[in-house]
Amino acid sequence: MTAIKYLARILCSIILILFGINSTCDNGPTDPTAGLYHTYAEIDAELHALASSHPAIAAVSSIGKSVQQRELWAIKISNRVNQDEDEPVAVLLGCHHAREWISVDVPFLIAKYLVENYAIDTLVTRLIDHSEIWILPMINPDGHQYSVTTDRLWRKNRRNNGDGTFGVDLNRNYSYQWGGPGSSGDTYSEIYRGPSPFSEPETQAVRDFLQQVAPKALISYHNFSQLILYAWGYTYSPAPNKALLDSLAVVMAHKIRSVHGVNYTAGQASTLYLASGDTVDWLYALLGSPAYTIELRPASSYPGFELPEDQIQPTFAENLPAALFLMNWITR
Amino acid sequence: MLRLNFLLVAWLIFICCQSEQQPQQAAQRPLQKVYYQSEAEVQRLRDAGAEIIVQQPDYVIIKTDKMVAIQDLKSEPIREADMVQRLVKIYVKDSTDRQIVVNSGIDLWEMKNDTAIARAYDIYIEKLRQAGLTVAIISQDARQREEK
Repeated sequence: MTAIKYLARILCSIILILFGINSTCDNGPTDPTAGLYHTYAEIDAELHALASSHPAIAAVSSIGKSVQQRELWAIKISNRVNQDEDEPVAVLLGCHHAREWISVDVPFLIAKYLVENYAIDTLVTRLIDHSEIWILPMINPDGHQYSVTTDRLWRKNRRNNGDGTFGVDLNRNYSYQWGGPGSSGDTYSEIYRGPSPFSEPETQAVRDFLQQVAPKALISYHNFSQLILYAWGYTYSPAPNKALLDSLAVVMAHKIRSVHGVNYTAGQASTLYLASGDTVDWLYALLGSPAYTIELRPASSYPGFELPEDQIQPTFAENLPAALFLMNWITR
Repeated sequence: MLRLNFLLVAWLIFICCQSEQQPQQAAQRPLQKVYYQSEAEVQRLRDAGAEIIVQQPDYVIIKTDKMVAIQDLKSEPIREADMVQRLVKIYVKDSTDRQIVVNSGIDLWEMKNDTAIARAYDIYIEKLRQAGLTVAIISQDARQREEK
């Protein structure tokens, strides 16, 4: 009888624990809303729905987990999507920085456009047939969720730094030139680089993923300022093959401008200001593949990170041809 | 009684799960929220080597290894909401100024030829001013900034 009691206690405990954890993971129907912007739960659901409705060309997988154990979702778009073919790879990343909500929606909407226009649009069909496109719209889900629920201007991830402060700036946590100018060792700083390179599970997951797929081109979306930036960010010195990086960036700026007439300025990242330990410098140092930070709308600090919802679609629309151009370039 | 036991066991295991979900980094001296009544008390904290990260009308957030300095002042662990940042405009004359701004640790939002817009803790504002830069406060709390 005692054993049955203990079993009952354990069973009830498990039920309570499952209920408790579920309620703290913010995945339930009572999730907070970000209006027309996508929350983590919405991205999770919509990426899976997109893949489910187009299983021949789209598959969703997780590249790892965040500090708070959220999955870091990636959607792979390619014909014969479940095979590992010898095709060039393009990668789009979003939301290294939590408050940059538009940087989630633009890559997600690009994924949606690609999947829904296969066998309809000639260029899209060719890209999906001849390359592998990986889109990871939310690298920092914990920070994003915190930005939605608690602090709209939150930037970092949600690492407990152990001194009362939280968060590491994921885009200062990559190993190449980690600790250089434009990053901080202060835990409370918004550009805190973390205690060591790749200290964070989010950047570790991106590192392992990018090393595995070895992209021929990458775009990491941020906002704001309307810029197209390439290596180097840590120094004013030019990167090897700067002419190529610049020419591709200039074409992308032209493609963006051709949609709504909005200007994005192309240039070496350090011409804006020096920043060390970011994704683009790390990938360029590792592979030499053209990699870009695109700072999306708006142009200035008003409205800054709080881009009105009615600008989601135009921001996506103007960035689509630039992304398609870069994806097409790798299949040349 | 049985239900209470279930809840207690569930709570204990749940706490363990939560701590696994949010691993802490190596222990650091925690920041402290210290209440004060006069500028003299704040100055005493400075004199004792405390770094004043934030100074609000009734409290400061400090970082110090010398806890003796706050023994007679009411203090408590910080809450995230206590970490108030100002919205500032910084005037930059040249590339040297620009680099001081970039390396200061502030949350840089926008950099133009002669000004930068940023979110900054008081400690960073103080360091920028000590370096000779002009810093204007746009909003005392960047979370409540107004459209300009």
